[in-house]
Amino acid sequence: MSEPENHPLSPAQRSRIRRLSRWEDPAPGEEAGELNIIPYLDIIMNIIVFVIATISVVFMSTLDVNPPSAGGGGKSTRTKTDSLNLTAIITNDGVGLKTSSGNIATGCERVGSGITIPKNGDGTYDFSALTKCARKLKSENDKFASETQVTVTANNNIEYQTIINFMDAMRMDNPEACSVDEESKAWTGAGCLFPNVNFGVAR
Amino acid sequence: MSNGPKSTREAPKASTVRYKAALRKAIRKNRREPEIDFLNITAMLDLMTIILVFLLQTMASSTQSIQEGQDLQLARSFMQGEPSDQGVILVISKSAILLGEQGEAVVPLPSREQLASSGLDAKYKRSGPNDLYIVPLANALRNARKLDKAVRAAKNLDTSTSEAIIIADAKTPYRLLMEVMFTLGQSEFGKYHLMVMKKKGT
Repeated sequence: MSEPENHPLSPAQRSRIRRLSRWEDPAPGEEAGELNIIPYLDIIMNIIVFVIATISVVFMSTLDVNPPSAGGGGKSTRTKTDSLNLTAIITNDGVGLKTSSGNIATGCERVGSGITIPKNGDGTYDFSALTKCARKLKSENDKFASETQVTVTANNNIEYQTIINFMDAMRMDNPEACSVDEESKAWTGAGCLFPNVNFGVAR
Repeated sequence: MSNGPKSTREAPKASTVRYKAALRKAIRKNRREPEIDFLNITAMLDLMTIILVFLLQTMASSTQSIQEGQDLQLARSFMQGEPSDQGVILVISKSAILLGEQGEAVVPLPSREQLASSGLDAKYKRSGPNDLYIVPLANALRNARKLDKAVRAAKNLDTSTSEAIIIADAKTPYRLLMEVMFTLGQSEFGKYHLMVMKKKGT
């Protein structure tokens, strides 16, 4: 039987074409199954909260210091007699400061006897006065501007927290103008006071 | 019943070639891109799990994961820099001196009153109670220094001295701190990083 030629599509053929060419969404069973991740996310969230609550990563820092030496020498590079040679003694009554000129008297005004920065009336150390006194001593002579070292000695019973507070007070009086150079790891800026601390042991 | 009259009324069919061409054309015309109504996140979850495990392991072995407790309360400082992770870790808690990342107890500590007056017991010292040299600590530091020296050589760092990270309790007396630092200095440790907690302000 020969094929029909040049006839248009019959209604039956058009109907069949419409039926066969109709787009059908895939049946639910044909779709890829979705993963239920809610229990997984619960576990992840619990772990993250636990980690954040227990590990105080971002709240820590370190202070770099040199080894102590008996007699209060420390790893000091100061040898010139016209340098400040600042030494601090933390006692139970306050903080005493000593320079090449001699012991700094109470009130940080002149050389003389007494505790330079006595404790406050409530028994706490007056670290703000200590910072002002350090600035005053450093500003007395232009030659002292480059000095960044202080040797600290303390009574046996002075707590570590007091030492850290002392280092904070002596480090700088203007944080905007004092920073650590990334390459040399040295403190630079006009706002720096005595950020390099050497420990000494009184004998 | 006969089908003869019905078959005679059927419209003439187009050729098979034309029919198939029309079918293909209709299929192309009606085709729609499948909608993406779900996201396959299995691969992403795999990655997240690996990253989480990696982070947990890194944090656990880091010096920054110090746990504060009754036995160890870190000092507070205005220092805002990043903590150094170079060096041998030495912890001075209220009850003992511990060395290394595993925190092996080297020397047990007496009461704070005794520490504040004369430091550690004379039996731990080299030559009497006034000496600053803690013998058990120095012995432990000797091994740590040997290991750290090899690590520094592998990293092309200066091997003449090592560094130490001192994690001390805030109430540690100055006397004990000096004894520990002096012993460190005698054991070829030339630079110390005092670990503190940051506090706000200036």
